[in-house]
Amino acid sequence: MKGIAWAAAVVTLFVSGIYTVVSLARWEWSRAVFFAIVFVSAEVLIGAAAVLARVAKLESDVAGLRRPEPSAVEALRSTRHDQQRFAWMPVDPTEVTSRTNVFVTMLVGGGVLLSAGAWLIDKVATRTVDPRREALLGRQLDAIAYRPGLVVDEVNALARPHLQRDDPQLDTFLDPRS
Amino acid sequence: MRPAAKVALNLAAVALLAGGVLVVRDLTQSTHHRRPADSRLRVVVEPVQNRSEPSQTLEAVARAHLAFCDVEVSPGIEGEPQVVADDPLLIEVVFAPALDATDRKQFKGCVEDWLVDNHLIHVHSMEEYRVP
Repeated sequence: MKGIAWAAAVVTLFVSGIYTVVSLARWEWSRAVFFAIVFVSAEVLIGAAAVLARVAKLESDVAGLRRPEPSAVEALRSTRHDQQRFAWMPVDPTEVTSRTNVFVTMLVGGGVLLSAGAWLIDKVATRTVDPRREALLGRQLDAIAYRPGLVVDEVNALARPHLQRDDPQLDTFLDPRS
Repeated sequence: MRPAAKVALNLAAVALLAGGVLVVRDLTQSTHHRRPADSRLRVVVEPVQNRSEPSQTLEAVARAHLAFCDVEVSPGIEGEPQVVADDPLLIEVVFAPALDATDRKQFKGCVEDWLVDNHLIHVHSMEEYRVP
């Protein structure tokens, strides 16, 4: 495959170069410019590919120099301890009390995930309160608020010389101690 | 590779490059000659199109193309381009006086160049004659 790509690039380079000269000889400037662009593109492509191939070869050579001796690797592999990294996962079908291992793990993991989700929801909810929304809420509440004078507040009621109240329930409302 | 062979190879490459430059210069250099005043050159072109703009007619695009190429050569086109055949479309232009060899090459190259998208013009014939 790589050889086919190289061959295609070289053929493109030669054909575009030949057609550039032919177009120049025929005074066909637009065609000459087009083929010259193709020629330069193929030239840059081949140059870059050659440099990259050389760099890849150097990398391969350097990696070969750093590679350890086969005997040392074999010794390391032969002395490696085959420990079971998930020994707590297997469940003994005859041992009932040890079957909660996975359940406890899922429970703790689920708790972590739920906490993360709650934290995310809290952050998103905090973002929904901003000065613009507060001002909008204030305008909406102001529209339904009681107008001044419609309700006798505690200050005005106490400022009067005599409380004019006909409704006995008003006593309890204005002065719960009475 | 031996040093002598390397030097010979480099010299050959330089000679090839210099020869190529001279050839291209010779091919693209203008050399004009005065033509007799009673000489004429009749050029018949055949325009073709492929997936061209529907709002443009082939004849209109060909006339614009020929008008552009007219300014590339010294003697101008005499009169207006004439349609001499419809199927295939053939258009005739007459230069007065006739074009010299370089101008003929320039005009032919300009006419057959990729100037307009989806349009090509082939030079059908070039015929020089004298007017009485």
